[in-house]
Amino acid sequence: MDATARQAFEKTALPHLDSLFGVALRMTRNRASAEDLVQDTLVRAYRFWHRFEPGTSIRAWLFTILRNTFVNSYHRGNRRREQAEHLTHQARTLDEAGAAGLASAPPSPEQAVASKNIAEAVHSALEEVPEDFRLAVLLADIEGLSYKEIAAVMECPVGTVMSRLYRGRRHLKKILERQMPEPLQANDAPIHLDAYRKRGHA
Amino acid sequence: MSRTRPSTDPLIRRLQPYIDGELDAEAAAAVAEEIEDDPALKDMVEEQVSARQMLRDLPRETAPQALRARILLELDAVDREVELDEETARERGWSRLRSFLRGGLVLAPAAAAAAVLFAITRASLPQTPAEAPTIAAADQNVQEDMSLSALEPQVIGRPPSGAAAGVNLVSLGQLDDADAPMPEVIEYPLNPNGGRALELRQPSRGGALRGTLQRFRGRTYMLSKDRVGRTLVAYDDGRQLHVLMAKNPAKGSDLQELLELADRLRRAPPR
Repeated sequence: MDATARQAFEKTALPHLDSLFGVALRMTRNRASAEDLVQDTLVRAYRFWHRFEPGTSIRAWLFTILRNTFVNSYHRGNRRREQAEHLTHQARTLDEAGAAGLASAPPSPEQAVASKNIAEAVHSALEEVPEDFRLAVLLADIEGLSYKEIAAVMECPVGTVMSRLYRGRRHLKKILERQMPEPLQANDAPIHLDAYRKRGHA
Repeated sequence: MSRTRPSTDPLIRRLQPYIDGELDAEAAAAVAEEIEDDPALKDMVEEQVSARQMLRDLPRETAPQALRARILLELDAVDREVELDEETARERGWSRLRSFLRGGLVLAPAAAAAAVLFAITRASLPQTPAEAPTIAAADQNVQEDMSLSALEPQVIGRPPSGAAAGVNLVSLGQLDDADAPMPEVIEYPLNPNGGRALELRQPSRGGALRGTLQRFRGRTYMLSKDRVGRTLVAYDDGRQLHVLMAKNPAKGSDLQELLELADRLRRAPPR
């Protein structure tokens, strides 16, 4: 690979390392596997860098490779390992989340505990959401990909993306209601449609 | 109080793009009107928007710095692999050329005649001044004393973090991995004029080195510059990564001396 290609790859693809890691973590459910998955994804992306078309979505391209790598290499062997590391991951994620929160805008202790509880509950609920629905939801709601980009990553029609998103979010909400009905209602009441419309579609 | 949910699929196709802002203003207004008149739809939308908001509020994950370093080393390894493949392909090309030339031996007398003619023509031209000694010429002058003690090594010790600032450790980019051991710095005499050289050593990580490939006395080195423009000579002996640089660089003269020092170090028996 020539120096220009290497430079272009580092400049274009590596900035998405955190996003890839976040999705990988929620797909593999443990840190070690997530790190391996991201590493394999980026090495594969580098080998096939000449196939990336400038002007198209680099994020969609990288997530496509991540998903394929996950499906082909990580899907089967991880079940046992993931259960063992599940608790460790949750604890660490929460510690980091707490630290990050304190660094930006210090919340009150009550708020910190509440948001920590909600984040913990959402993480845990996400892991129960079926894989295809989970990936659609992660890509749309955490990574902000468009329907078209998600369809490319998941190799399915846009209609299927909509359906997976709907079902994934619904699944998540139901699990959360089952797990923590009261705190969820108190701290995360649904946004009113009127307010939502004013904000998003004024 | 629970309302009866309408059957989903056609609705999903209408509502989801509205929820996710994928509709134009006109279409969004039409869907909004429809939702306004239908409490069941309103519930559906609220549920979706609420779930989405919870996900958006989750703290973002950050990849560990060590992962970034690991990936860079892997990319180096890919580069090295590609270079080796190209080298192999070139060798195959030469092999094919040799086979071709073997078949063309019948042309040898003509080639010999051409060579004689060329030599005669060249001999009649005025002589050019002698070229500056090259690295290849220096290969003839291998020093005999290969013992490490003759090099008078002086271990400076492990510098505190930041002491190696300005030295680009080739494939590592920067020392950002807190778990990585700090490099050992060793000082050597570089030349008879009192010039000194520094060697940075740290355990090999198996990655490829970046820079310009240089062969010297049968061994391979990678040449590069650090952030302040000093010449660096690097090699990886499988156990350790070695980076050599002049302590007080002199313009243009360091490379040869650094390569000679590196060669002596590699020939010296291990400590």
